[in-house]
Amino acid sequence: MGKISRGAFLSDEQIIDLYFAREERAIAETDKKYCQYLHTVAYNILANEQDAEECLQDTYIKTWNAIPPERPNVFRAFLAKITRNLSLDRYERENRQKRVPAGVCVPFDEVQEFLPDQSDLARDMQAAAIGKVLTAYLDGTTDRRLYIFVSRYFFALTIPQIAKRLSCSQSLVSKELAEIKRELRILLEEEGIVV
Amino acid sequence: MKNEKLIRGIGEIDDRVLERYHAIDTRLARKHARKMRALRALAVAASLALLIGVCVPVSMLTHPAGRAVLKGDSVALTEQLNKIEGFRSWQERTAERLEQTLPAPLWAYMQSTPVLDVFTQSQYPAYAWKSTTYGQYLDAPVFVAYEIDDPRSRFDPMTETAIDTSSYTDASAPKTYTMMCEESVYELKYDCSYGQTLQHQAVHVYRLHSTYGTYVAYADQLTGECVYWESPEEDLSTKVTLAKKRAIAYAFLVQKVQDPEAYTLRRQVEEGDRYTCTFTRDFADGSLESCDRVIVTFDRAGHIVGFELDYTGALRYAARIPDTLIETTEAYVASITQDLFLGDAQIEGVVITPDGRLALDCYAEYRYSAAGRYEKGYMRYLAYLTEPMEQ
Repeated sequence: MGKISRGAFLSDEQIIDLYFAREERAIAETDKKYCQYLHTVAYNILANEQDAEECLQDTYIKTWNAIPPERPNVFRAFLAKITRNLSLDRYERENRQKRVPAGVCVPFDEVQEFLPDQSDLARDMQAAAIGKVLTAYLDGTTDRRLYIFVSRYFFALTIPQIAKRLSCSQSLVSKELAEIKRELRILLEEEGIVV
Repeated sequence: MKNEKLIRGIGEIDDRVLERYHAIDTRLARKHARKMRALRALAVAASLALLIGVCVPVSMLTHPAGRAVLKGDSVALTEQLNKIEGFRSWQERTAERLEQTLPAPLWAYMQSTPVLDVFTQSQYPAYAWKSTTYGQYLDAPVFVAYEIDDPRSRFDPMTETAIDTSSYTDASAPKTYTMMCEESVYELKYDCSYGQTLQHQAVHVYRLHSTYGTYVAYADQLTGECVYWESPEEDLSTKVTLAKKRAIAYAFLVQKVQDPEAYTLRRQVEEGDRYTCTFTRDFADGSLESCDRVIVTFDRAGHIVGFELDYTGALRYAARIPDTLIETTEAYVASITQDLFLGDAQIEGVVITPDGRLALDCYAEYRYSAAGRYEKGYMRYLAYLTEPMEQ
């Protein structure tokens, strides 16, 4: 994610306190600290500068409305999830109107390889429950696999981008992804879910 | 959207997973930054080596007693100097000059892929240097040195003048260890307060090795005991011959020592000894990734001649010593059956040794298990990237 110089920024706690005090400066400080990061999250999904920018603005509004009463434990993750969900909403709208270029959001198509929509899991479990299953898997996996999984399926990075960050070959990342999918299949089968 | 619920589910992974992800991401970014710094240092230091070999009178490197004293970079001093506005380090000035004077292909080469390859693998103390392209330009022994992080050091980076450090070789001084060449070719001295890592270490004083491989000390707590040994005395011609045959990496370990007396000559590595270290990489967030293997190779005299890392994971930083070199060393693989958690290795500098080899001066922290606890240790070693030049 984007590189952030920490010195000039308020702490997350301070920013959240601003939200609780209903000071509009909270949004400015959030933008100052996390703009680049959140923009990357949105852009990776939407591949469109303007859409990403609008998602960013929506993220701030939604955050403003959510805090209070909510007090996020991990502010950055809280923001990233909002941005990601908003980006997915927008992506879905654009996709429905056939305005999404081919090749965008390929990672999400890959999801079907280990979690097909038609599975019992997809039918019966809500997103939060699925998140728990995945969290359990990621808790138990190596740092490298966690990094690859989250990069690919949460932040929608491309395989070349991931390989560059890990200083390894793209084929190696692909191989790891295949292994992750295999492990997830096993996990789901162990949970009694036929994939 | 296909798989929407599932895609949304991925978005519901726990915050702490994302935080772990960011910790890894930060670590990777730092590694990348370190790699790039090291790459620049290699290019500049190799350039400096060439410059010194070509342009600088030998007298500049030789103190009155006839010893060529090594000098070089110091992290602390460099940082201090960099704070001075307008100051350009000797590396920068040298790089600038060399860029203007070196043959363009060489300059381009120094910044090209082969160097990157080295550093791709250099996060761990084993190296493969597939190209000896540098060698063709280094037609004479060239000295590049280290500045000692020691207040007594009088190395002047502005004039690039080496100084006499012969008085600093007192082997009995506490918290100091000395590495010197018995043939008076050069001497190196490190202070244990180097950087921020060793200053609180009760490191026993002991003599280490020369680049000819005359002496090697190895403090080994991996097996719960400390080991020190010296190779048999040999005359210079023999040593030079051995050095030519000898392969890539010498290494020595400096670690926390509770009992200085433990550094005694305990045993000699015997032919056929096997030392396999299983170690685990640790990330900044404290999580560990297991489980890989390092093979330490020794030559017949007991010198460590290299590390071979064999990652079983998909991220394979296997930095193999070229087989041809292994063969010429008559090296033996030995194994250490203790956990060894190896941290990042940092490239402290680059050396062109008197016998013409290009080597990296590396410094690494590692952890090892002892009595159920993890202890830290420090490893400083030269990783030789090229073979000795013909004399």
